[in-house]
Amino acid sequence: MPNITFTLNGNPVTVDADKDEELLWVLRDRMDVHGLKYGCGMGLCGACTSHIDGVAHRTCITPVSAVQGKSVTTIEGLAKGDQLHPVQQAWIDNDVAQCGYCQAGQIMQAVSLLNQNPHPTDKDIDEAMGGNLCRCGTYFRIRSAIKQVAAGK
Amino acid sequence: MSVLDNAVGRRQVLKGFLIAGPTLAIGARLGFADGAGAFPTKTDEVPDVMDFTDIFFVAETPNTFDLKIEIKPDNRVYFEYPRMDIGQGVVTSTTMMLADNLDVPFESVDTVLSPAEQKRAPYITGGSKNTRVFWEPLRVIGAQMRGQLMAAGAQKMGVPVTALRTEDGYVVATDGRKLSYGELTADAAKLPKAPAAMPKDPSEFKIIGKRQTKYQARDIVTGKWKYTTDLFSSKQFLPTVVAMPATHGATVVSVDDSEAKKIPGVIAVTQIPGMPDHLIPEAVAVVAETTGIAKKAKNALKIKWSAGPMDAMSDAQIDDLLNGIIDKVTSPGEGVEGVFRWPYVTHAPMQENHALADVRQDSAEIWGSDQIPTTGQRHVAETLGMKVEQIQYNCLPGGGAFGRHTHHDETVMAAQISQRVGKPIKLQWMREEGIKHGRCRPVSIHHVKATIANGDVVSFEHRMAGSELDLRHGLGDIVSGYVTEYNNGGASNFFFTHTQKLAYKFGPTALTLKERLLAKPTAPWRVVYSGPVGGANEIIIDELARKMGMDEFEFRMKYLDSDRHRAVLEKAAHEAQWGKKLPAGVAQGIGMHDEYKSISAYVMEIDTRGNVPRMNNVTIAVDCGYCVNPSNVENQLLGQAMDGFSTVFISGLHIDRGATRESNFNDYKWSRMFDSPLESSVHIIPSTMTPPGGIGEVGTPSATAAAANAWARATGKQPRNFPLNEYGA
Repeated sequence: MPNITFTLNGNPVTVDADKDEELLWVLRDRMDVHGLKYGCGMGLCGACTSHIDGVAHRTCITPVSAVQGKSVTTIEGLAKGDQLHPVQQAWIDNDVAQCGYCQAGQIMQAVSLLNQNPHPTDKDIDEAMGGNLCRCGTYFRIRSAIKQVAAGK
Repeated sequence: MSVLDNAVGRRQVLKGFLIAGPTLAIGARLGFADGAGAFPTKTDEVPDVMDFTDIFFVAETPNTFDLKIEIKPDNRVYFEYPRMDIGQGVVTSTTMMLADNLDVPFESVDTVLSPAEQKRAPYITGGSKNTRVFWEPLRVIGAQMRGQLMAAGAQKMGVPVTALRTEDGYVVATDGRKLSYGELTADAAKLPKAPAAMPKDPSEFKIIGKRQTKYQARDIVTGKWKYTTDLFSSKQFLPTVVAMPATHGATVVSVDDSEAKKIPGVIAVTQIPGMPDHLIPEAVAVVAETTGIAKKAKNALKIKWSAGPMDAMSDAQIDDLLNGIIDKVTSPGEGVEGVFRWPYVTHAPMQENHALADVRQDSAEIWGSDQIPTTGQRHVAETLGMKVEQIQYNCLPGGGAFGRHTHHDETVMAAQISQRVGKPIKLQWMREEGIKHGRCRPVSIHHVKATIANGDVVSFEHRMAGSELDLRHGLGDIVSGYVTEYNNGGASNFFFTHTQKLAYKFGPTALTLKERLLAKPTAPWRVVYSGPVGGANEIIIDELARKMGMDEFEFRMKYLDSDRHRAVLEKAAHEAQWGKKLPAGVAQGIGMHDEYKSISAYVMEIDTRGNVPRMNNVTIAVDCGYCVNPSNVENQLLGQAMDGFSTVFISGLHIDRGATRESNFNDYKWSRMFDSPLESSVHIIPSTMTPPGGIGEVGTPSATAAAANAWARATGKQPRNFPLNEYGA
């Protein structure tokens, strides 16, 4: 199997994996990175969402070869040490999580949205977050948390 | 009288009550001549006398005082909580209750979930009663522990106990000296049992009743929180997936794994028997270096499945079957009536079925997110041919459940696989197996009729028929001891009888259930029967109001059972500005529900002008008794708004010749961000009622009804066949 080299949460890494293996399972099963979750395996629910070069991707349908030479950030790499990212802090302030399983993906998606569009409208939020399922139904608080960050509070 | 005495007393009451056997009268003679204008007399329904929350309370009380709580020398508190948290927030609320009653900071408590222990059975998470059943035990235990710590403090400081108090994890003397619980814990353990301190009066609470952010919130947002499948490296516990039958109840005829085994990274392929008695199907497991490789190999298996017992059945045949067994509606007279159909809906928790198993020669260790792990432990022991004591059965908070994990399909399967391959394994059902084979809410048909005479509602009749709800997951621990002589219909009919009621004064009321066991596995689904039953009832109630020329809100205010109900409804209606002018195609709808000692009312505004209905806003009022954690109560009720919206408009499974049609979130749809309200408010009615009522389910029927009733008022149509986006045209 080929070696694939990329940056993971700021650190250079090399992994021995088949080029078609899904990034989700390479990270979880070969590299013990467990913050990103399996939900559907088809890019339908967003639980596995992580960043590739700063943009949200569904890692369950991303072949690991696609990140050769790129920078991958999972939820574990979002905070700077103990300093939470504002989106993470907003998630705590709004007490968003119920079961919490989808929230890593929600947060990574929200960070990507706010990076591209710092002041999203409700319609923008509907569209950008529409691919991230939350079976507990925490959408209202996710929306509130995104708006809190956008408002700079 | 102690709580234990009380429990025994209540148990005797229950026995007597069951022998006396209340009847749910229908066909009572309706004589109006003398009573024109008066409300018909309401017969007490079974849940008015004793509902399932009471039964849980009685059954669990002997064990709810058996808690593991330890004050460590570093002044932290270790707490083993013997119930499951799958998102409903009980780890947080129970930790709040312990911290407040023990008088320590919330942050100083380290709460973990207890493993299964048979002597502490039933370890049941369901029925929205966990906060209720631990309320009094934690008050008593907290006071006992404070008493013991003060006795140790008195000795160490050389002052009488009366000169001491507790505060934030310290024993504090009137002269200002203080010692931490951690400094006193070793001495306290050696002292003879001291008198308990005074249990806290609610006016002294510092934590209970305040907004508390989720216990594990920081770990969740940083990705540090470990769900079951995040434990251990996949080199230690090998990734595993399962292939499941082509049609429900089918078994393996032959397996050709030659192609699958050629895939690099595949470690083993093995067939497992499941547990046919519990509708856990036969399956073929693939173990591999990664879950992705295992899934690829699963798809390369060539499995020949036998025919299944329901291969001749599609939705139409199931409906015919249910229409053949449903009790007939017999109320004479005019009124309103409707025949409703709710499809199978699956729980689809974000974390699909999963479990870890490490089976050795003479012992096994299991990790899962079971709602009733004491039964899971027994089932695993049975299938492995071991004694229960040989099974270490660990519990970790799960990524959603909604009733799915009341059964033990995944832990039984994981144990069988690990035993056969001789290695520790990490089982993850793929979503396709979860949607097709995960247990689900039964399909059901409901015939509801209410009659009107002399300007009043004089009877209400609800006949339900459904595929059988599988309650053989440990509910029997509670039910069988009390009721086998009482009810020939089995656990599900017992459960139905003790949960279903109407919160309205409608004269004779009949609510009955007929079920037929089908091969498609079922399980309790959030609020169990009350989503379909309560939803249909509240739709009929709206139609009654309109038939009688009354406003839907005013009608309910007239007929509701109690002032407590009316206060909740009035709050929701007032805050929602019920009756406000809205454009054509947009309407508000009301729904309310009473269960688990709590009452909820929802007013939902639905906009039907777009391609699909949208929830513009939702206003919720609740009386859940003494509110432990307002933040969680609000969050739960908002989530349940999405449950109601989803089941009314979006979600449902289909059966095609014995197989479930849907397979993933592309065809099994659930509400998403673009379905969620742009505005919402939750209003908690102040209450001193203790122990508190439940909050994990009580909103779902109200939300279901509010969504359907708003749609009906916006479109002028009758909601009957769900989901409406498919059948409501």
